[in-house]
Order: sequence, then structure tokens, then C-alpha cells
Amino acid sequence: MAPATLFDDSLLTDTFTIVPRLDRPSTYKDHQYQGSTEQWSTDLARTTTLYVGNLSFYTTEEQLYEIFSKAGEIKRIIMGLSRNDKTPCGFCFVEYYTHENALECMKYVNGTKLDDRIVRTDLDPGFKEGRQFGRGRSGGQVRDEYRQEYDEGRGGWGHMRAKQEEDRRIQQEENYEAIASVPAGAELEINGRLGDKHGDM
Amino acid sequence: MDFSGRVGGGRRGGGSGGHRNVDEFGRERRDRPHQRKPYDRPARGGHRGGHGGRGGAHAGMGPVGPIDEAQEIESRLSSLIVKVGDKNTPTLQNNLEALSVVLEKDCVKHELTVMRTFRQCVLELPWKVTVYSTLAGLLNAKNSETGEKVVALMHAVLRGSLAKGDWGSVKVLMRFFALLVSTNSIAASTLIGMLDTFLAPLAGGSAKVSASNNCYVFIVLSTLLWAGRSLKEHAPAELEQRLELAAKYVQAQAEINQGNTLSTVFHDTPPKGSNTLVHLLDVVRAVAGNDWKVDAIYAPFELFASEFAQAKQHELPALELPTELAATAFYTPSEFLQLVPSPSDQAVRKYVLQDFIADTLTQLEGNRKDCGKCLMQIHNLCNEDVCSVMTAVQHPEDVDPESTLVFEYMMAEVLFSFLLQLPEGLYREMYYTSLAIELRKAEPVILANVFETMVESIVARVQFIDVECLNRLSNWLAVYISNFGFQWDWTKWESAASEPVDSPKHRFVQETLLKLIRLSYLDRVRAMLPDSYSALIPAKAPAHNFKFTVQAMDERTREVSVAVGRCLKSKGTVEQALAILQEHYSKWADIDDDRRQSLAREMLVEHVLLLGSKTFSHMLNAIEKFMPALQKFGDSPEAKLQIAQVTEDFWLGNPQFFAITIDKLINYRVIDPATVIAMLFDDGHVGSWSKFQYWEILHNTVKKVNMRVVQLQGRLEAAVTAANAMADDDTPTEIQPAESVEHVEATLAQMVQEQRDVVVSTARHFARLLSSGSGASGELDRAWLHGRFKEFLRTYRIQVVENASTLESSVFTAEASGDVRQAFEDVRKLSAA
Repeated sequence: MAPATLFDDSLLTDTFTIVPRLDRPSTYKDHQYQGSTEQWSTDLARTTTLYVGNLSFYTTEEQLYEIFSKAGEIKRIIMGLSRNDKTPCGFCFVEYYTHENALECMKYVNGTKLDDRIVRTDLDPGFKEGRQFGRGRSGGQVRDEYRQEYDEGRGGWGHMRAKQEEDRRIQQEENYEAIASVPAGAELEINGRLGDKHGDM
Repeated sequence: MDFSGRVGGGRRGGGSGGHRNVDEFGRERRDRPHQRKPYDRPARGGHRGGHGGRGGAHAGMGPVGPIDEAQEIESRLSSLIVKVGDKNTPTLQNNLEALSVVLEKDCVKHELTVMRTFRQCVLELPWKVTVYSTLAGLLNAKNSETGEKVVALMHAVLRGSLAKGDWGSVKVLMRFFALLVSTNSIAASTLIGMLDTFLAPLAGGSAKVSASNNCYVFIVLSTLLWAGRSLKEHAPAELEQRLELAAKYVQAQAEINQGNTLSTVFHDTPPKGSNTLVHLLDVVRAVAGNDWKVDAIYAPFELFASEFAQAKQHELPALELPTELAATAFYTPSEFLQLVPSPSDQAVRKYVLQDFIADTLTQLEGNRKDCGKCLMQIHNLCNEDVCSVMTAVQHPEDVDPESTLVFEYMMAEVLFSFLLQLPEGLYREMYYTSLAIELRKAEPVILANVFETMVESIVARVQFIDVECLNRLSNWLAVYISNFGFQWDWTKWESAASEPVDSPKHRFVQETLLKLIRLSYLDRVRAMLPDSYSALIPAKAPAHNFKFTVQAMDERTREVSVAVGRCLKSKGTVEQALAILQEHYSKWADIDDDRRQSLAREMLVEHVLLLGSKTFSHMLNAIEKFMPALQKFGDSPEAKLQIAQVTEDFWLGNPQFFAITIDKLINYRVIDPATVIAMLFDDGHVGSWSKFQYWEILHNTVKKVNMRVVQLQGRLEAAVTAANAMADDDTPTEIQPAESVEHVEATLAQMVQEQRDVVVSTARHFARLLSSGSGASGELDRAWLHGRFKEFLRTYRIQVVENASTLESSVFTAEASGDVRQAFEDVRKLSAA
């Protein structure tokens, strides 16, 4: 009979894995969360809600319902809206009836595509009124303020970049509007060698 | 042993200068994502190589401090353990020897890390069992104290897995112990003792066929497959006797299931191989006939026979079978479907490899991405010429599955076998979908072809496949296609459009397209289809079908409709809406009260649905707001049925909204599960039984009822515990239990009654329709209905069997048609077995 003292008891209780599980909380954090870090972890350990990001502005609730119900019955979906014009701005909250379903969603749905975009989900302590609105200066999500790449599914350029692009366009317009006629260019033959005059190509 | 390239996972190719990534012939290696092992990634936060800081134990511990030397060593050690034997290479023998020396030396100082890592390697990397059992054997041979610790730990883990009913781990661990006999770490008699624990319920030879015994025999046979070689040598008589006992059970089990096709996936072939136990027994006997040689996988322990000869064997405490597990908590092994031809003389090797693939799929379910990468590693440990690997050869298109085992096909077969497993799979369907997506992402061309071949091969047998399986394949395919730019070769299935609408192929293609539209939008799907598909998709985008549009109704109806519509639109209250209805309909003297009530009900429901027709949130808001009025109008079963039918008419053009609205109406208790059953089996649906949408709703409903029962049972338990705690507590307390035991008991009793009613009435509807000449519009329609009936019986077999006597006396009577009664008999046998 092997006595129990042969190895450390913690070896039968620790949750260490070689391959990290996908249903564990990531580095995601709501910056306006009011509680402590411990409270955050406790909330996540029983939550039924997921934050869903990287959506196209055009993705509908119905599409979200279709893919997210693959992990369990959905209680509700709260679409993320732009603070200013109340249109979808690329995120939402999905609430299930059970914590297990939220975990299954992390395992099986997170990272798959919807509307050709990789859906990103994170365990979230739960929806609170006000969180449905974007927190960026322009009403949308903060990430769209600073985004440098063009993203057709998320309204084109990021808001700051869009502003720069617009400024550039206006400047270009002003510059070129002034040109009334196309210049003909000076008739000098300094570079004639490069032309076809001597035919030495 | 060259440790430099093997330590500090993630720094592959870095460090040692001039170390080019070339193979032994100097050719550049093809950089394939699956060749990067999941544990190759650099760890986050700091330079700690391995993975000690990832996942469980240290997760969320905050920033990593300065690099600690001990930590560095530990992560190096665990990295070595994880990586050893990734490949069947000539250096493996030396690597194992060297690693065992290092571990033996460091084990005392870094015991926790080493043991923990070793434990997880056995559990999470099941295809490397030959490597880890050898490593354990070497450790034991070098230092029997260390060996004893390892063996004792793994045995304790096995006991824990058994108690929890974690059968995947039990199976994997038993195989590990089987091979420990080969390394002389435990005696043959010790393993026999372990096997006897599983065989105890069979003792006497007249064992009852049951879910638990199936599971135990499956584990015993799986273990014997690997233990046979050493048992043959050290305990031949015992081996023979255990095999005999298991074989006798398998025979009894096969006899009971003789001709039972209730959970057969394909009905075109005789169900050979569809009984997993029979198939496994065949494999074990074939191996026994070959001197118990399992030659698919490299077995390094054979090389260390002289070292093991001196080793000490360890005694182990007895195993205990779980006593309180429900019949559903036992492992139902999945058969491996044959979807691609394979050489029949390779059946044993094929089983051994598919068994490893299946175990990996089970053990790494927590991370489909890494699971995908690991799956693509398994063949690396194969002996030479055991299988061909398309992703590793220059010309994958030349690989011929009829002359050689093809690794990718075997893997995909296991994946589809899991997906199509009946009565139900081990995990949610979506697991197999997203796992396939990961696999294809790593190998975009070859695996795209492999999966296409699999789907084609199943669709080629479409008229023989079980209805539920076809439904699952359709769900799988739609999500799969939508993850790869909606690319699919639709021209192959063009003929489906010209087949009858309820032919299996037509329906399969159409339902898949409808799912694709749900995942995207109509124009997107239409744009990718050939013109010939126009009949298979709706002409216009899903929309509602509001009854009271201005054109088609009489004047006084129009007046009510306009008034109600205006009231709801301008955020009128429930009372205001009810007052308007009352005011208008009370003036209609030409009809009686019932009729007036019915018209008012329809009017309100239509308008509430219209108010909520924009999105699901709108729908929930509308129903929530008007819940009191809806509940008031739904005051009888007939009234509830009317609400459900109005909902169906309203969402005729949008099955998704239909299904979810019905679901929410149940949640808000506007209608009952019984309402839904009555609506679904309405005679108006005769001729449409092939449509998937009704059965989606049926499942949602029955599952919801079952879920409520489970939840109430949990609440009852909590209430009883709370009450007991109160009674034990002498000190007077202010805290009252959350709810009284009596109250929960009463609610539970009510819910159980509802569950019974749902099962019996659903069965009654099925039997009525299938036994009457007018229950279906034709042979095809009836075949779909019958398929759904079988699906219902086997999915809810527990509830069906619980109510067997009621069903027998009032539903499946002599009047019911023969195939209906047969299916009922089959489900009783299935649940008994």
C-alpha cells in the first residue's frame, strides 16, 4: 500500500495544464470596472456574460444569435452602439443562461469567423447600463479612434486617421482647384538625348 | 544528447549560429504551422522558456519577477519532459536515457515541477504513452524511490479520474499502466488486479448488459490491446481468462443489440463495425494472433530491456469503481466510421492510430487550437511505413488511400465519427466545427481537400444516412464554409435542385444554404451560387408576414389595427392597448364573446410581434412589455395554441425568428411546452416534415423542460442542505433559508409532471402520424418523420424509459404501425444496454 505521503498533496489538486485552456480569463479588463482585482476574478468565475469584439458594424443581432447559440441558449444580446448616433460600433455583450455555456463559447466560438471577421470573446463580469455605448471620443470604440488601417467593416479609416485623411483631401483639393489649365512645359532640348530624337535607344 | 536546441521552448532556430532549418539532406524544411508544437510558443511576460507560468497554477499571479535561476531550470526541465519523443528518430533512445539521468538528479530539488509536468504529459499527450511509460521505467530503474513516487502519483490520479467518471483520462491512464508492466515498474499481477476491478461487475459471466459495463469492458479491452504483450509473457493464463470474460460480455451485448439500428449512422451497409465493442474485440484478437505485437507506434521500452530487468516493481492500492454515477455519466465509445477506403489488411494499425487520435481529441478538448496542432504530430511517432502523411510529402495528390493508410484521412474520419456519433456526441457539435477550422487554417490546401472529400463521401450516401446526422452535417458545413470566405464547389450538387423538395439531397443542400443565409445575408449567398440554385434559396430576404396590412381587410378591422398600431408605436401602455381592443371589439355585436376574444388576441399578438420585428432585442422588449396582456389572453390551451400559430404565420418567411420567438414565449410563460408540441404536430405540417426548423423547435422545447427539472433538483438539494444547517444550528439566527423545501418540492413535482406530459404527448403525435395513412404526404415525407421519431426516442431515452409503461399501454399499442413499435422496442434495449 503506497502511503499518501509519497508525493505532495497539491499534485492532486492543482489545475496545471501543459496546453493552456481556452476557457480561462485572458488579459481583457473593463477599465471602468469598479471592484477590486479579486472581485473581478470572482465575477468571472461564475459569469454568464461575454464581451464580444472585432465585429463588423454591419453584423446583425440575428447573425450573432445564430453563431453564439452554438454554445447554448442565449438570454440576451446587447449591441454596442456609438454614443452619438446610436448605431452599432463593432462590439456586443452576449449573455447565456449558464456559466458553462459561456465557457463553451470561449472554447468553441471565440476565434471563429462571422461576416469574414475573427470574433473575439472574453469573459465579462456582466452588463451594466451605459456599457453598451462606445467610449471613444467620436462615440465609437476607443480602438477605432487610433486605428491606422482601413477597415471597411468598421466604417473605413479610424476616427483620427479619418480626420487626417479628410484634412489631406481638403488640402489637396485646395491646392489643385487653383490650377485652371494644364501647363505645357518648357520647350528646351536639354534632355533630348532621352527622347526619341536621336533614336539611340 | 544535445539539449541546446531542445530547451526554452519558443526559441527554435535561435541561439546556435549557423544552425539552418534544413533536413538531413540539406533541403530547406517546409515551414508548416502544425510543425510548431503548441508548447513551442514563447511564454508571455519575461524570458522564462517553458510553460510553468501558463495556464492553471500560476495564472493571474501578476507580473513575473526577475529571472530566477531555479525557475529557469524548472522551465527547462518541464520543456524537456514535454518535448521528449515528439518524433520517432534514431536519437530518441539516447534522449530518453539522458533525460532520465537529468530528472533522476534534479527530481528531489524540483520535484513538484517534474511530477506535475509528467502527470500532464501522460494525460494531455496520450499518443506518446510509449515514451512516457519508458521514461517512468527508466526513472524507476535508476532510482526506485523516484519511480515509486511517479507510479503512486499516476495511480492516485487514476483513482481520482475514476471517482469523477472522467473516462477519457481513465482510459489513457490504464494504457500507461499497461505499459508500465513492460518496463517492470509494476508486476503483471498488479495490472491484472486493476483490470479485475473493472471486470468485477462481470464476474460469474452472467453480467447484465448496461452502460456502465459497456464502459468498463471498453476500458479493459483498450488496456489489453497494449498490455497483452507483457501479460502473455508473465501471466498468460490470467490474460486468457480476462480476455475470455470480456469477450463473453461483448457477445451478450452484441446479441441484445442484434438488428437494433436505432443509433446507426449509415443504413447502406450491414452495421459491421458500428458496434464499437465488437470491433475492438476483433482488433484485440487480431493483435493476440500476431503475438500481441502492436507495431504502429514506436515502442522505445523494447530497447531498455536489460535496464528494466533490475528495476523494482511497486505495489498499488486497490482501485474502486464509482458507485453514484448516473447511467448517462458513462463513456459511450464512438465507432470509427469508414468514410474513405483504406487497405483492409491494415485494420489493426488503423484502429491503434484512430484510437490515439480520438483520445487526443478528448483530452485536449479545452483548447481546440492546440489540439489541432497536436493531432498533426501523432504520426511522428509512427514506425516507418505505417502510414502516409499528405502534409509531409512532395506530391500529396499521389497518395492513394486504397494502398496505404493516410494519416489525414484517418484523422478526419475520427472527427466526423465524433460529430455524427449517436445517440449523442461527447461534446457540442461546435467543437468539431471549430476544430476542423483550426486544422484547415494550418494546412489550407490539403485539409480543405480532405474535408471536402469527407463531406462528398457522406453526401454520396445521403439517402442512407440517419436524419439527425444529416442535420448535424448541415450545421457543421454551414459554419465551416462561412469561415473560409464562403468558398465551396456548389456545381457538384447542382442536381439537388431538380430532385423532389423532400429528397434527402435537396433538403440537405437547401437547409445548408438557409443556415449560410442566417450566418450572413441572402445577397451574399445568392452571389456565390450558380443560377441553377435559384429554386433552393428564398426569392427575398427573410421578413415578417404581418397580417393587417392596409389592403386586405374590412373597414372595422382596419380601424382596430390602426388604433392598436398607433398606440404601440407611440409607446402606449398595456392598459391603453387593452382598452382600445375592448372599445372596438365590444361594438361587434354580430359575433359571440369567444370569437371576439379570439380576434382581439390575434390583433394584439400580431401588433406586439410587429413592434418587436426589427431585432431580437426589440422582440424581447416587446414581449416583456406586453407580457401581462399576452398572459391574460393565453388563458386556455386553445388560446395559447392560437398565440403560437399566429407567431408561426407572422414569421413564416423567417424560420430563425420563428424559432426564437417561440422559445422566448415559453421563457416568459406566455405559452407552454405543450402548446409548442400541439403547434408542431399540426396536420397543416403534413408534407413538410423534411424541414429542419420544426425539429429545432422541438429540441429547444424538450431540452428546456429537462433543464428546468435539473435546475429544480439542484435548488431542492440546496434548500434541503440549508434547512438542515438551520436545524443543526442551536443559536437563533435572523437568516431564513432562501426558499422552503416544501415550495421547491411542489414546483419540482409540477415540472416533472410537465416533463412526462411533453414526452408522452410528443410520442403520441409521432405514433398517430406514422400509423395513419394521412400523417405524411408520401414515402419521403414519412421517412423524414420516422427519422425524427427515432431521433426523439434515442435523445430522450431516459425520459422515454421512465415513462415506458404509460407509453406501452396508451401510445405504442397494437394499433401503432410495426416500425413505430419496433423503434420503441429498440430504444428500450438501447437504454438497457
